[in-house]
Amino acid sequence: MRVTLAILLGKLVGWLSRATGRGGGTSLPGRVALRVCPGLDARLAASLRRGVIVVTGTNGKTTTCKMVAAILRRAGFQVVRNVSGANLRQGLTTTLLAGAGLGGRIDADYALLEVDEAAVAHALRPLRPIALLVSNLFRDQLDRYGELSTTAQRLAESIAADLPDDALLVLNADDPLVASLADMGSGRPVFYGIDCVARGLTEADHASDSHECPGCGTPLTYQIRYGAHLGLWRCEGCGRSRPSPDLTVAEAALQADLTERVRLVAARADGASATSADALEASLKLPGLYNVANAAAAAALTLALGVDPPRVREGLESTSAAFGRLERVGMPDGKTAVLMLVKNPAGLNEVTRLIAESGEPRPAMIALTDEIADGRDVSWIWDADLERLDGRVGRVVVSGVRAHDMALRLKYAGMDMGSVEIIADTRAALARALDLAPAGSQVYVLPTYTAMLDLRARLHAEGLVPAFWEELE
Amino acid sequence: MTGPRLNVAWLYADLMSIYGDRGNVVCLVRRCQWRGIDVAVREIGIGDELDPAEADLLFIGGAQDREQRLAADDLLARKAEPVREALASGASALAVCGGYQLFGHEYRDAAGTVLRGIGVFDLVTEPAAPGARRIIGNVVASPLLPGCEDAPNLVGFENHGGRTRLSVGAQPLGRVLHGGGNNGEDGFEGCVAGRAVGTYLHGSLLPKNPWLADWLLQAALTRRHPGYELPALDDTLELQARESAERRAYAAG
Repeated sequence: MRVTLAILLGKLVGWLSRATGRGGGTSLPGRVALRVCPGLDARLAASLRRGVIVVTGTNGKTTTCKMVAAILRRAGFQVVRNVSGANLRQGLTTTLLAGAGLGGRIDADYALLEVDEAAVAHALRPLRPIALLVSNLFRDQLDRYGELSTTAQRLAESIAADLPDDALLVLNADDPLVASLADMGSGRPVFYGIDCVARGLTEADHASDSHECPGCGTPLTYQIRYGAHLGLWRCEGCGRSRPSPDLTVAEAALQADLTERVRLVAARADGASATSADALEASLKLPGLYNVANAAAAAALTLALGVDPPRVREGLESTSAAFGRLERVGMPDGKTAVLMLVKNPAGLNEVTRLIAESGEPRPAMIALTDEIADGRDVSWIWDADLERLDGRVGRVVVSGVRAHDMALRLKYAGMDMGSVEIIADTRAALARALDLAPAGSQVYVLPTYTAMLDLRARLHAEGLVPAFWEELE
Repeated sequence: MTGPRLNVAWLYADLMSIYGDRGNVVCLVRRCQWRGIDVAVREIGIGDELDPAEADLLFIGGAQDREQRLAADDLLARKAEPVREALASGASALAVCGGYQLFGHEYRDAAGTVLRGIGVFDLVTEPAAPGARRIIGNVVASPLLPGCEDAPNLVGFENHGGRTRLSVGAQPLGRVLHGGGNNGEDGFEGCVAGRAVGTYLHGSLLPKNPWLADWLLQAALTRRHPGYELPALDDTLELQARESAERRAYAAG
């Protein structure tokens, strides 16, 4: 009775906050329901046919969850998911409420919950997950959570205290801090990692802060380095090294059409060397090594849950990027526009690295705007390594209200200005870039935020892309 | 015969580089390369020696408070004398934002910390009055740099909490037509002392204000190559970008 009342009230509050547009719909229903029935979240979690999966880490949570959900659904399971940001106990309860019937049961196999690394305790204690996945711990969380080591320490403590012993603990072997979470003695560790020398950093590493062994504090040495502190690491001090992965990315090759061909190899339980029967090949729509790692994480988790490899492959291959993040738009002329949102120097560097790696120089359209949502200051373009584009991109059409600033940046990056044109209107600029591309090929489109909204709205009016809200779950 | 030679000394490139400061160095280097000038950039960090005979053009950018404090101690302790010596022997300098503040006599930040500057410019910087906002936005300023009064208006973007006040008799770089400038009150932007230029403008400053880049280069090259005159470059795109930034300043605020 109390359970039914809590669920009813929670759902009512959720409906009211959506209907009145007052917001709070992601945490208020959970708060109200927990007030009425304090153990409701644990009870709902226990009613799932399979159980709760928690995904945490600094980067890649949303993409990894998208992939895991796609795989599980292809394997015939029903999955409920939370909205990123609804992290704390009330928010997680709201997610469970949405899937619950008034009888106090959730008609689903799995609840897949994306949780900030600093909020994991909120999920582990009441929900008793059957699996916890930790992707990586990066330093860019300093401002939000204090020192990185503090975040790792709290995560380790909550794993030790609250992760059930029979739960899967899926860990990125390439991240020394994450890998060390296996030492807590809770859960059954499953490691994934990347073994691709060809994708390691060749240029001198700019990450100047040294990365110390989580065990003894000695600076780590790296056989391969994939960026930041990720790679094939080893401590000369205490002899710790990157654990041998249960699932290894043996190959990852960026293709000319900006897909990634990956080969994942599962280690044999008996320690024998893997054969081709243990390999799974897939073509990812999401390029870049960080997405390869997300795919490996999703595959390691779902394979450990017993999903058949063909379903894993289908799920990985069907996952596409969020709106504008790497969105392929088929144009009426048979060519493809690849939309890649750029908002800051780090993001622009990621995109230029992808363009440089993809080999064939293709035309590009770059739109620079300075509306409030973009930031009025466009000086950030001088902090990005556009020098890398020289010789690696075809003709460039620059656009947007600050087009001249971008053209100037390209001039000082060493580009031949005979191959750069300025067209103020973004749709006209895209049309021009498409004209410059050979039949059937692709053009890169790099807009800032408001330029992306503007361009996408116009492509939507032409029936070429869905409105962005139609893509939200 | 080899081309003329120029050494750029980039002070605290790792600590004091924010909002595209790097673009100023990129600009100086390219404008030398396009003219066949043999240019070299040396990054001078904390603890490094600055050789006043080698450095023809000094550049220092902006920083957040913590980094600025770290750099300030080292600047005062190890670089003050060589900077003055280089300037006295004909080097030129550009100091932007946080670097501009540290090239004055004193900088007091919002937390009450007092940083002593090296006094290249005759100015002090105070924190904003309680409740007053940071000065953030596009800037347009008409040049007051002696001999360059007819040059195109300076354009850039400013983002600073500190209010900089020039002493009586100090030479401002420009008169503010749009934006805040040194303190948002007296209508002046930046400061000039001999061949040293200080300013709050980034954006980056030099690519869209190429005449100022060339003024700094000409001054610096004269030290090693008396009588050398910079060949002209085609600055059509630079001037278009300058005009578009000026229009945008008035339209967007």
